[in-house]
Amino acid sequence: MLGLLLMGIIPFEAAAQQQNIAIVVRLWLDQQLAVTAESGGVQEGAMGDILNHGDQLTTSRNTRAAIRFTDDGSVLRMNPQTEMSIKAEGDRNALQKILQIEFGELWARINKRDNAEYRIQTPTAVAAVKGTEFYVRVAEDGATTIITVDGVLDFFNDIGAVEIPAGYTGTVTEASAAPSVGVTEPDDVASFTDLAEEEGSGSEVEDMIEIEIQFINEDGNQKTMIIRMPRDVAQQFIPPVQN
Amino acid sequence: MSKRINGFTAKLPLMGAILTVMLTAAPTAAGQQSNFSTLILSPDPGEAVPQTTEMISLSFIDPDRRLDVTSVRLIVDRIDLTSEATINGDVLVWLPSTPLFQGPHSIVMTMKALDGSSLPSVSWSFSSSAPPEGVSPGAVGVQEDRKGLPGWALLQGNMTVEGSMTNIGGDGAEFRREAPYTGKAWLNARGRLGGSWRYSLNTHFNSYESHVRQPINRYRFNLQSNWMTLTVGDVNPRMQDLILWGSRVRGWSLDLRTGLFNVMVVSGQSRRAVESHLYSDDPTRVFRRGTFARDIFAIRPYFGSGRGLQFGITFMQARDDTSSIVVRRTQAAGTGPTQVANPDPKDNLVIGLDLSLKAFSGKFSFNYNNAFSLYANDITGGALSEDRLNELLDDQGQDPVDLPFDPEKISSLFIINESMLPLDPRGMTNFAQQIRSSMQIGTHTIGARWRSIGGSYNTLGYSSLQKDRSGVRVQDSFRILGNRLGVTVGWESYEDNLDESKPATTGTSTLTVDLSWQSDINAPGFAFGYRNYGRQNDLDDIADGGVDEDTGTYSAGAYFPVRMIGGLKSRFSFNYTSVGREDVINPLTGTKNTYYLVGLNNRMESRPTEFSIMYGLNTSDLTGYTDAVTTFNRLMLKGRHAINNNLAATADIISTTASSPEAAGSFGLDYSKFEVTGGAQYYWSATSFATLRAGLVTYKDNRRDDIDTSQLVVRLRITQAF
Repeated sequence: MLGLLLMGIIPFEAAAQQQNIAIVVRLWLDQQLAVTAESGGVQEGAMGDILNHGDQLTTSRNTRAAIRFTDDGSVLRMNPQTEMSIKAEGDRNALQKILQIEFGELWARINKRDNAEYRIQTPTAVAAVKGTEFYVRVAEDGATTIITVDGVLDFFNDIGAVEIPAGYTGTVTEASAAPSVGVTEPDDVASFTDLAEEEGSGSEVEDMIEIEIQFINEDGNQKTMIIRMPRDVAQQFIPPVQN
Repeated sequence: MSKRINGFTAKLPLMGAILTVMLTAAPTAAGQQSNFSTLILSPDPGEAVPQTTEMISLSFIDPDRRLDVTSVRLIVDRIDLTSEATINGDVLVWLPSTPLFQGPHSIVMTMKALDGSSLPSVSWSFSSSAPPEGVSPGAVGVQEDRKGLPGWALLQGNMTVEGSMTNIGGDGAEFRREAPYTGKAWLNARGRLGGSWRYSLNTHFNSYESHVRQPINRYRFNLQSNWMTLTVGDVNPRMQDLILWGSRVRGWSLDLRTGLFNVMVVSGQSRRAVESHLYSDDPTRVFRRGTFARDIFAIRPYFGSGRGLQFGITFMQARDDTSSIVVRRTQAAGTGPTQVANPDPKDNLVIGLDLSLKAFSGKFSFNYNNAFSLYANDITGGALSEDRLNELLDDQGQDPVDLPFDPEKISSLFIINESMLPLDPRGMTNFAQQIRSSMQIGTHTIGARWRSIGGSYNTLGYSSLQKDRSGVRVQDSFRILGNRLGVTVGWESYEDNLDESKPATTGTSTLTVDLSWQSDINAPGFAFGYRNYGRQNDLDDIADGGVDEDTGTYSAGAYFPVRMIGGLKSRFSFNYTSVGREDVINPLTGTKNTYYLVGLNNRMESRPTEFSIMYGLNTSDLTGYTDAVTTFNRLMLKGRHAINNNLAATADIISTTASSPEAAGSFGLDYSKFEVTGGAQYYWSATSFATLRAGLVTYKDNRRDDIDTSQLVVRLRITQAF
C-alpha cells in the first residue's frame, strides 16, 4: 500500500521527453479534434497526425477519436467531449506514459511492454495500469470511474488505494475521498457507448447521413448544399420527401 | 495487435452490401531481426475500414538505429506508393488522396539496414468496406482488376443513370402537373498521375438541358498539384468576398502558388446567349426574354500563402456580348409602345484589395476587403465622348470631369456612357468595404463583421450581394458547465440609404439566442432558440414606403433515448416552434404560426430493420382576420428492412390534411393528400447497385369538385463504379 501511495506522489524521474509517441488513427462523426501542444499552439487534429509529449487532445461534442502509441501499439478511444493530455518520458523501449484526463470518457487496450509503465491521472485519483483493457470516465467535478475489463489496475489517491480487478468498477468522488471498488453492473459498461466496438464496424459513421440539396438559382447556376447529420436527428426533424 | 493470423475468407453483412474480408497472407507485423522490428498501427490485419477512414501507418522499433529510411518501400495492391508516404521519426503514414476501392487490399513494406543487409519485410491485408447508405455514389471504388496497372492509370469513379416517369389523371389533373420528370446521368472519375499530380472529371447530364435556358448540364476537368490547380469547364471561382464569389463560369481557371507570389486567373462565360421569342400569334407580347452571352475575366495576384499575412489585388471585367443575340422588339399594338424583348446588355469593371492576417495558430484571424465598381446598365449604344459626358453631368448639376483619356479609346476595357451607375463615381457610392475577424478564447468562438456596400456598387461576379447596406454582425459561441451546455448569442444591425437618396432610412436588427444541453451521448438532449427580427423606417404609411415590422420566433426541442424490448433502440423526440409576425403599418398581414412535431424512431440493434413514426401539427393564423386559422396534420410512417446482404426494401406512407373554417373564405384551405411509396435497393456486385421507387399520390381538394387527382411515380437509378 505504501508503495502505491508513493507511486502517486513521487513524480517520474526526469528523463528525455519523447516525440512521435502516438498517432491519430481514426476520427469519427464530425472529426473535430483539437490538439494543443505543450507550447500552447492549437491545431486541428487529423488522421495521421503524430502526437508528441505534452499534447492535449480535445474531442468536440460530436467527435470520437482513436490514437495509437507508436512504441507498443496500445489503443485509446476517446468519446465526444473528452480532454486528455499524453505525456511520455524515458527511453523508447521503456516509456513511462501518463494519460492525464481532465474530463470525458475513454476506452483503452494496453499492450504493455517490459519496463514500460502506464498511468491514468485524473483530478481526483491516479491509476497504475497493470491490466490490458479498461474504461475511464471523468465527470465535470473530477469524479472518476474506472471499469477493468481485463487485467488489474491499482487505483489510489492521497486518501487511500484499492485494486480494481477485471469485472470490477472503481470510483472516487473527490480528491479528499478514498477510492472504492465494487462489482461492475451491466449498466455501467453500457453507458460507455460502445467504445470497445470493432473499429471497422464504424457504427457511428453509418449513423450519419448526408442530405444533398441541389437547386438552380436565378442565374441558372446549379448549387449543391450538403448537410451532414446523425440519421436519427434527420429523421426526427425532416419529413420524408416524395421523390 | 501484432498477433499472427492465419488466412481466412469471411462474408460479413454491412448495410445490404457484400463485404469480403480476405487475408491473403499471414501478417508478419512482428517480424524481428536482432533488435529491429515493425509494429502495424493502422489498419489492423484483416480489419474492415470504412472508406472515409483509410490510413496506412507503421512504426519502426529500431533501438540500434539500423534502418536505412531511404530504403523503405510501401506497396499497396502491387503499386509502389513510397513517394506518397511520409516518414516522421519512427512512424510511416500514408493517407490515400481518394478512397480505395471496396474489397480486399494488400500491403507490403520492405526495408534495408544502413549496412545494406535486408531487414524483415512486413505484409498484411485489410478490407475497405462498402459505403454506408446515404453516402453519394462517388464513394464507391474501383474494380479489383486495376491492381498492377501503372500509376497514371489509377482511376476510380462511377457512373449513374436515372430515369423517371409519372402519370397523373383525374379531375383537375391539368392543374396538378409537376415539373418534368427528367432523365439524368452523372459520370465522375478521378485518379493520380504520379507525385502530387491529381486529376478529376465531373459531369452531369440532364435531359432538361435546353438552348433556350441557362445550362443545367455541368462539365469540369481538374488537374492539380501542390503548386497549381487548373480547371476547365464549369468553374466556380472564389477570388474576393466582394467581387467574385462562387458564380459559375464556363471556361477555365488557374491558381498558381509559389508561396510568396501567387496568382489566380479565370476566364469564360457566366451566361450563355439565349434568343428572345415573341408569341407567333401575337407579336405584341413577349413569350420569352432573351439573355446576352456574358464574358468574365478576372485575375488576382496575391502574396503570401495565407497561413500568416496575405495581400491580394483583384481585377474583374464582365461584359455582355451585344452581338450574341438578335435584339427583338414587340410590335406596337394600338397606342402601346414597343418593348425590347431582351434585358439591356451590361458592362462591369471592379477592382479591389484584400488583406488577411492569421495568428496564434489560427486562433485569431482578420480580413479586410474593399472594391470599387464601374457599371454601365446598357451598352447598346457604345461609349460616349468626353464632351457628351460633361453635357450629361452639367444637366445633372454636377461638375464636369477632365478625363486623362478618351472614353471611346478605352471602350475595350469599359464602356463609359449615360447608363453608368452612378454617372459620376466621385461620390464613392460605388465603393464597398468589409472587415471580418474571428478569435478563439477558451471555449468561446467570437466572430464579428462590419460591412458597407454602397448603393451604386455592382458586381456581376457576385450578383446576390446586397447593396446599399451597412452594419455589423457579432456572434459568440461557447460551452459551459463541463461542455454540457452550448450557447450561441448573435446580434446584427443594418441600415440602408447610404447615399441618402431615399425618403427614409430603414434599419433592421436581429437578436438570436440558441441553447443546447446534452450531458452525454446517451442522455436526453434539449434545445431552445429565440430570434427577434425588427425592421423600421418610421414612415406611417405603406404608400410612403412604411415597412415597420417585428417578428419573434421561439423554438424548443427535446429527445429521449428509450430502451425497448427485443433489441429495439428507440428515440423519442418532441419539437415546438412558434413564429409571430406583427406588421405595424399593415396589421392585416400579421401572422402567427405554430409547429409541433412528435416522433419515435426505432432501430433494431443488429440494424436489419428500422422504422419511424412521426406526427406533425401546424396551425397558421392570419391574425389580421377573424376565423383565419388553417390547421395542417401530417402523419408519416417510414420503414426499411434489409432482406439479405444484397437486397433492402423501403416503404413510406404519408398522410396530410389541411382545413380552415368556412369563414376564412378565399384564404382557407381544405384538402387531403395521401402518398404511399415502396422501393428496393439491390446490389448485384460490390460496385453496382440499383434503386427503384414507385408510389401513388392522391390529392383531393374538398373545397373544389374539380380537383381530385391520382399520380403514379416510378423512378429507377443505376450506379456502376469502376
